[in-house]
Amino acid sequence: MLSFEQILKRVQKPAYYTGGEYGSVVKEKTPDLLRYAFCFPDTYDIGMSYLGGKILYGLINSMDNVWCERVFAPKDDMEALMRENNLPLYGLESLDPIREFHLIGFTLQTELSYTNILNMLDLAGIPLLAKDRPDPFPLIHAGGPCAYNPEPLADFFDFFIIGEGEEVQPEFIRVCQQFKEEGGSDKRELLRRLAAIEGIYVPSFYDVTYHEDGTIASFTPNDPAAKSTVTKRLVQNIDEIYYPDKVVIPFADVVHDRVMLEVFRGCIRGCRFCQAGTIYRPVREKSPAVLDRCAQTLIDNTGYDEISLTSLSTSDHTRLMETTDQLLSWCDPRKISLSLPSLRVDNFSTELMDKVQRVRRGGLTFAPEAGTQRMRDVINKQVTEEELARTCRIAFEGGWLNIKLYFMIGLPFETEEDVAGIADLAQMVVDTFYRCENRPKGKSPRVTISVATFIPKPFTPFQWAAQDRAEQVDRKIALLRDKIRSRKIVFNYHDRKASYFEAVLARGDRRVGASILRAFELGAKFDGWESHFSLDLWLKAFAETGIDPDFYATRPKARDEILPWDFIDCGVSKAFLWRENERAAMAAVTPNCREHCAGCGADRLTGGYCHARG
Amino acid sequence: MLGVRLTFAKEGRALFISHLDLMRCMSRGICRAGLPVYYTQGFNPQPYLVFSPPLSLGYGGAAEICDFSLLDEGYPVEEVVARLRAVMPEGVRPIATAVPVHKLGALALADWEIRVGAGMTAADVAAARDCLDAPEILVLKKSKRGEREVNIRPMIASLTAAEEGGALVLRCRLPLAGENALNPKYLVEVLGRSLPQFADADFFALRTAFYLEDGTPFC
Repeated sequence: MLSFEQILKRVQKPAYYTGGEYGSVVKEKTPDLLRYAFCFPDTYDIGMSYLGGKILYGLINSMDNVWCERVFAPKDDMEALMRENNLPLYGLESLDPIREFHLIGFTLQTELSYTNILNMLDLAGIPLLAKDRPDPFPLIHAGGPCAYNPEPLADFFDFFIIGEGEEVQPEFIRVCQQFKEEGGSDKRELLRRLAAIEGIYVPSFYDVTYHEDGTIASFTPNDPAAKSTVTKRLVQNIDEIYYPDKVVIPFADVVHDRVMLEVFRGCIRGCRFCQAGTIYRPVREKSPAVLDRCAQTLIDNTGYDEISLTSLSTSDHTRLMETTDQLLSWCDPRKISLSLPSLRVDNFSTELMDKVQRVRRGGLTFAPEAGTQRMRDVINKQVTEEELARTCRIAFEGGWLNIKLYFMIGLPFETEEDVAGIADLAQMVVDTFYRCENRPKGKSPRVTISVATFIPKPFTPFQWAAQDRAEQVDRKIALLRDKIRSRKIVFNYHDRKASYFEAVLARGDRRVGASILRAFELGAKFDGWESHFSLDLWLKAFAETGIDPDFYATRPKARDEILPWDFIDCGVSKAFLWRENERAAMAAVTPNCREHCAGCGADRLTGGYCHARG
Repeated sequence: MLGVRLTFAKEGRALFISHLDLMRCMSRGICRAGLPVYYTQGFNPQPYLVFSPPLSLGYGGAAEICDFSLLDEGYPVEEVVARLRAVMPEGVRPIATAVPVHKLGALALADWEIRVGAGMTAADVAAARDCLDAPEILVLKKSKRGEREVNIRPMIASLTAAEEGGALVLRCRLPLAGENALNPKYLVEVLGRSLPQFADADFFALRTAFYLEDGTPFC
């Protein structure tokens, strides 16, 4: 048996496993203390880049008698040594095994991490199935965007949190504290109390029946504490919610290592493929004064030299110029740079470009998403070719040479012409460079087109759509590859195989849980990593558990079909989503929320307030 | 400009961070402390910091060095250490600050305390001492230019061996810089190769002090 230190000496990234970073919270272990493990089902470098984790870590630790620790998925070398030496999964702050904790929460950022969740529970020595855990603690729960269809994970979790965590986390933690103080031992009783909280879903309190064709016949509560509809939680006043004033500063190099400043939540755009654009509605914006104060505090307390303004579409903030001016007034003298990811093609300006990143690091990335105007109208991505040309001209004249363009293929109503249009659009960007009078002399541009296979997601107008079959995707990719003529264009394609199984999990029902468990038993983990993912393994798992993946991925769903996630009210109405689906079929554009309210229904949850309407 | 030499310990949870991690950590700590530090000039200004040579992953340092400059010549040097202590993670512990006397480039030798194995007896210690006292100790030494066989015996400036808490503790002075730099792991390797009781023995190396070529304590 090796000691902890001996194990660390033998792994590639020991700094991922030792904790002790500046800003990590250590509390005294008293009998009253409720122990919380915040688990990110991927490696440290990815998990430590996640803003939601920073917010919740700070928030939970700001509560009395609660100690929140971080837990990440160990890499292969560490996992092997942990298993060989009986070292159970532990919290990075105390190094104590998390199976001794009271609450274990996972964040669901992608379906590709589901097997990692099972692997982490297994490494912790915790039974994977909720029914095999009779005691109230540890209580295993999850939240995050993928919790909007929690059903494939229903067998594993005791409860789910639907919506934003800032208000609901303290509420349910207090209920658990109370239960612990009372010395409660009836798990069902605790779950009943939790189910009473708005936004909490307890899957074991519901029964599902199915039609002969496999579609859902009924979804009904089996416990008086369970509501027939679970309504998402959201923060009403975003200027007043908790924002951390200090964060954990990793020793190791992580993906996003800078101050992240959330400028608004929601999105006015209404792209029809985008789940985030729906579930975070309505739009709520932070004011420049609040942003400035948060940024100054965070810079003082972290020592970072970069601030990233984050949101789904940062250039849509109504007072972005005012905000950046205010920030730059003190950032410049202190040698702190601003970065603005998530810029849009249609409102990118020289003025904005001058403000960000004096150092031209890397390239610029834009997401036209589709190759032809018709297709962009179908998905409601309101970006024109002229706007893209103008934006690229500004970028080239500003000294950038590398432009990266994101596209999807396999979108609903897509034709071969639309696919070929991707190559034409990339060629147009190359031509734009050579037409620029002020282009960098003696240099050539590089246009990277990055293509992903479309995955229909719950709570989008395309939630009913069929995913393209493998042979359709292959044909389209071959067609596109063939259309690319210029050596200035680099073609990147995100493999369709992972997209297929991702589509099954994204729109799966409870029955898919058995496949996830089987896939894990067969060795699946890190499904988002090309080095680990195996479609054959997943197909085997589906087959062995009697699941037809095509039923979930490539079958179009009927309008009146009960979808697995229909019991969730995310604000935006199903009627609106269907209307948008029909408009997509007609390639009809729906104006953005600021131009014209489309009546999505999300403002029901904010008493009629939506920032886009003022 | 005011040159400042910070002495700090690298210990505990920070033992397994890389030199690059350490540099980043120190740079951010200095920013958090609000010190008027001198930045590199160029497109991507960073606090200008110079460190004592990197420690291998897992090694500790009792008196590591980081040099930087303050733009304010009148800044109280003695205040720097208190300010840094308040903003550094537990494993990177500021000990003292002073105005540098020697240049970092003049660092030539370091003292090490190497704890090897467990359950060691006086006989094991004597065997280890004899083994490392041989007239010639050949090891295959890795460097940037590849591997070559070297006699490391003349590089060991001084060495004592003792038994403490069941471990063999070697205290030695080894060259630090340049072609002849000697990592303490080679001593442990020699023991493991020559004496069965040290085969696969674990060790922990702690760098305790720095010297100039002639043995003058570095300051």
